[in-house]
Amino acid sequence: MSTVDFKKVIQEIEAVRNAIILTFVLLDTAFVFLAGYAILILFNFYPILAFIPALYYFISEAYKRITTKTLRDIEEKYPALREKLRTAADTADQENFMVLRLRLEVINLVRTVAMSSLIDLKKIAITVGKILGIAFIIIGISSYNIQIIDLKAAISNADLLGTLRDKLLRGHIPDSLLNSDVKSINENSAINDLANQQRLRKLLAQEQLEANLPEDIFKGTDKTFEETLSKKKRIYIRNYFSKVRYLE
Amino acid sequence: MADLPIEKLKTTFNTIHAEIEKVVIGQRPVVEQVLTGILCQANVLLESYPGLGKTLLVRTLAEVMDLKFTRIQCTPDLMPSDIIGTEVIEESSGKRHFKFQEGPVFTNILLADEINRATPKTQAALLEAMQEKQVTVANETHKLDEPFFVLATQNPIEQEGTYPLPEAQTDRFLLKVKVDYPEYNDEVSIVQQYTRGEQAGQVRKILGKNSVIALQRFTRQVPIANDLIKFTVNIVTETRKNKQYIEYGASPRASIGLVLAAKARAIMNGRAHVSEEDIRVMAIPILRHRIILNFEAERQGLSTDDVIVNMLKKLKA
Repeated sequence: MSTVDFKKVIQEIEAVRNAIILTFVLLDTAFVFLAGYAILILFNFYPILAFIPALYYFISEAYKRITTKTLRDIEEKYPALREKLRTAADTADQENFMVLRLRLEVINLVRTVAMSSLIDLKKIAITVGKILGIAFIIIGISSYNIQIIDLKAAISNADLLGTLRDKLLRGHIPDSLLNSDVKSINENSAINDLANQQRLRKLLAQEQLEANLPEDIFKGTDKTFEETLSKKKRIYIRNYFSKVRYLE
Repeated sequence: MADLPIEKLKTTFNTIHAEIEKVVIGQRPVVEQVLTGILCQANVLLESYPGLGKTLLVRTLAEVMDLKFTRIQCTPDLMPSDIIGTEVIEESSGKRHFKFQEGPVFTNILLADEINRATPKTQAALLEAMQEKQVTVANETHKLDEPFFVLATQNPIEQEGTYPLPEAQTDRFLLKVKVDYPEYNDEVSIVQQYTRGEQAGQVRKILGKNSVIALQRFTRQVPIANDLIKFTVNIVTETRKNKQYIEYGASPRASIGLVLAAKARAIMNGRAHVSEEDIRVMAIPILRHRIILNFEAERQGLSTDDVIVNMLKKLKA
């Protein structure tokens, strides 16, 4: 058997092993989802959100189990394959007399292995039992409308967003604006007044600055602007433009 | 040999043991470890008291494997040329010329008895031949025959006037084999056999030179799982980390040697893969001459074997 063919055999064995692992993880994920669902309906808070922890559980657990499981698990169930299967898998890239002999031996032994024997029926039965149990609990909770706290109602009554708004903005803007929606805020003259006031303030500041500038600063000359100015005037100009930039 | 089923190799090696036991009673673990050295194309250090049948064992092994055997008794006056050979003047057709006369090192299995009695210069000449598998005399290189295997012995008593091999040199030997006194029943059989006046049974040739070379090649090809390689390295690095009893730990040469020795044990047991048990069993002869114990271990009366066994109990593959 060539290296390529033997690698395919090992890949097939690992694929079957991974499929079995994923099946078990899926069953456990179903239990996690149903448990989360039960807790959320007890607290009446968007039960569909239970899929988030279930998804996280599925991904993390599947990754952990697939990466930590090795061919030793198959060897433990079949003592005849002990040390031979993983030795053959680790040396799949080599081609020599002894490796080929081992490969042949492993192939003959693997043929006698029933992959279904790797499925732990007891574990499946326990997991299915837990899923059925939690399903019945959910049916019971829904049928009798059992709730510990109605979180949804509590949140909507508490008007959390309003409270937050009050805490952050009260005293800084008029109360009429605090509770308004965006459209009415835009039409509100108070906001327009505020904007006008700010604009006027800027203009005033700019006029005051210009009033303090020397008169001859705007006079044209045949020399370049900078050559006719004294150092003091140049400083005035620089400060003026800095402040204008700041106001903007 | 290419068509030989691997499982039948176990029978082959059992037959070798059976043939050797016609002459050398007991000492099966010693024979196994010496065979390990041969299969790994490496050299073995034997530590043994006098009179335990080392020469007989190695000579019998050479006969069973149809290999040429030579013995050198190392003494303080042994010169390097006594081992590797020298140039002698030969006269033919009225003309004189130098001819290289091969030393005892030109053999397949060389038993260097009491190597610690030879001077460092002579030890170095032998170790160089072991390492390079060739000798250079008068600017001419002479390759040694394949397979070439050196069994050096050391006497743990009679340390007066000896030149113990330094640790850097003992590290070049794959294994250190301790030859113990035989069991009571075995010693009774030995006495009966060798006091009867009859010759010991003739041993059959089981393997030829080419078969030995092929087995050496197959030994290196035995596959080993990655986690067992890591386990091997863990064992060796643990000797460097264990400061409670170990002053100096083993080098990476020990890791290589341990993997090779495990492969040899696997093939001798008719397996085409290395198991964890192979590594654990070979760890002791591989490591015992490569670690130096500290005062605390000596104070508690611990031997290197005790320290290695305790260490192996704590490690898992």
